[in-house]
Amino acid sequence: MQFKTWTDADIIAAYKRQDMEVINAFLKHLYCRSDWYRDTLSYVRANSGNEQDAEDVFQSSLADWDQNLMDGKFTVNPEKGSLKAYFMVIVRNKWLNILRSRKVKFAEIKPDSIDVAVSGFTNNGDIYEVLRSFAREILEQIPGKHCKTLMLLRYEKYSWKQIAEMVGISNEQSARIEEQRCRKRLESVIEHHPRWKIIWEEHKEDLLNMDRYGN
Amino acid sequence: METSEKIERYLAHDLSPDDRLAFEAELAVNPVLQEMLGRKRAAQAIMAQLRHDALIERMKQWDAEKKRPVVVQNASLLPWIIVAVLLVAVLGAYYYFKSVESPSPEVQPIKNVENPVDQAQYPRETAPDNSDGTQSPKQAQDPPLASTETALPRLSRELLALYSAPNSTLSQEGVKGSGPADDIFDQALSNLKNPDSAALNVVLLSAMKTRGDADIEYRRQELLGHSYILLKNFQAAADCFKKNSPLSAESSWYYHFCLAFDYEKNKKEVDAFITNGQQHPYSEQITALARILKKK
Repeated sequence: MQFKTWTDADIIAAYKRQDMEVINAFLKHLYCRSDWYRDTLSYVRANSGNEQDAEDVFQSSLADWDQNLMDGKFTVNPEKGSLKAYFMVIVRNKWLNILRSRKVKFAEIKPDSIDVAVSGFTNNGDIYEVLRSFAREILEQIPGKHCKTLMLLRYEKYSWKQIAEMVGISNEQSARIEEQRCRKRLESVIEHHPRWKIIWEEHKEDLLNMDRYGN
Repeated sequence: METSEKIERYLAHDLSPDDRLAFEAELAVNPVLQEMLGRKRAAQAIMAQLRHDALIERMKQWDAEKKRPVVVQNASLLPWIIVAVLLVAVLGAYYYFKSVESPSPEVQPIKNVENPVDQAQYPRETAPDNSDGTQSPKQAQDPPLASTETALPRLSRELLALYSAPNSTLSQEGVKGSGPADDIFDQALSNLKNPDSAALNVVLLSAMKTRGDADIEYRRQELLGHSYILLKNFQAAADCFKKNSPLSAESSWYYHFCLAFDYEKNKKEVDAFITNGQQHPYSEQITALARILKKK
């Protein structure tokens, strides 16, 4: 698959229609492509980090970047910023947080050295952060990999036939029933989790009104 | 249609406009439906987190495939490295035969390390061709080279001793990395005091300048800075380290170290650096610097 001619709008469109095959291939391409990593490395090195730091920041920034695009937190505005600029903003924020946690005082960090002109970042980050933190908590409570794999594959829009083959379930129908069973269990875990009531009370409006891609 | 399925289709924008309107009307007045929708959204967030974790795992697999094009970057430098090695061999032979013919005064190998077109120092055929007058702005910005051969004051002698001390980072070849900029930098730095390094570094610095990206330029300035220290042109050295903005720990140490050679003039800046130096990775060197300056 050739990505060199792809525009930011093409990538956003792939995220919008959740074309996971394209997205996953593109992410692999990005991960292995030099300039995103090299820019991360240059930035981290120039701000008191080393190559290992850059590797870690690059990985988790790319995963966050992917998640934000999945959440529809970036829209294209060619006049103000690109996907790469948006990625570098995530890198910068992540690295600055790490430096703060290490209590680094000596480095003359110049956050503005990265072009941060990025638009389309819908800044109702609170609810996303709350849900992410809640998700991490819930995932720790779901034992085994089977359900997680099933739900992930479904989330990534694989067909039931592909899911059945990948997970080793005899047929599509069984895969569908199995996945629905897992999701019901997940929703039950959410419903009975003590934090859910608090989240629901505090963020009810956000939860009802947040919507993907502003639709 | 079951309520659960209806919610999922609503979230996926998969309902017809009429069904969507009807669903939203019911949602506005039905608290049970509202909470069900909230839970579905929470479930979606959990899926997203699953994907986040899975993606990190996949990256580890991609790492194993080692497709990151560091190799490509190295490959782009390979011709320069080959040229460097060949030139070193030619120059080595040239100097050897020259010394056999007539014993010469002590060679000043790192003089004019940045500007290869020094006809007095290098044979014409080894100098890169700048005859078309096309010099990059960076070339124009580099300070003029000048070697101070006069007797040094005691402070400078002590600072140079600190610079050459066995535990200094220079003798440990700084912070080693694995990128091409580090490779070229480490190679040049480790050869800096070697007589052959003049020729080697002319080529390396030219290669770095030609390459011209930020990472290489960063290392080029550091290498120039070290060259100027050895030429005892400390202000020029400080300027080189300062060009690396934002300053790394390494560059910030060498920048302030160079300023210390003119302590009277730079006292305020050097003292501030020393005062805040406890957390600095070069705190050991900073302590030694403070000790030397205190004697003064």
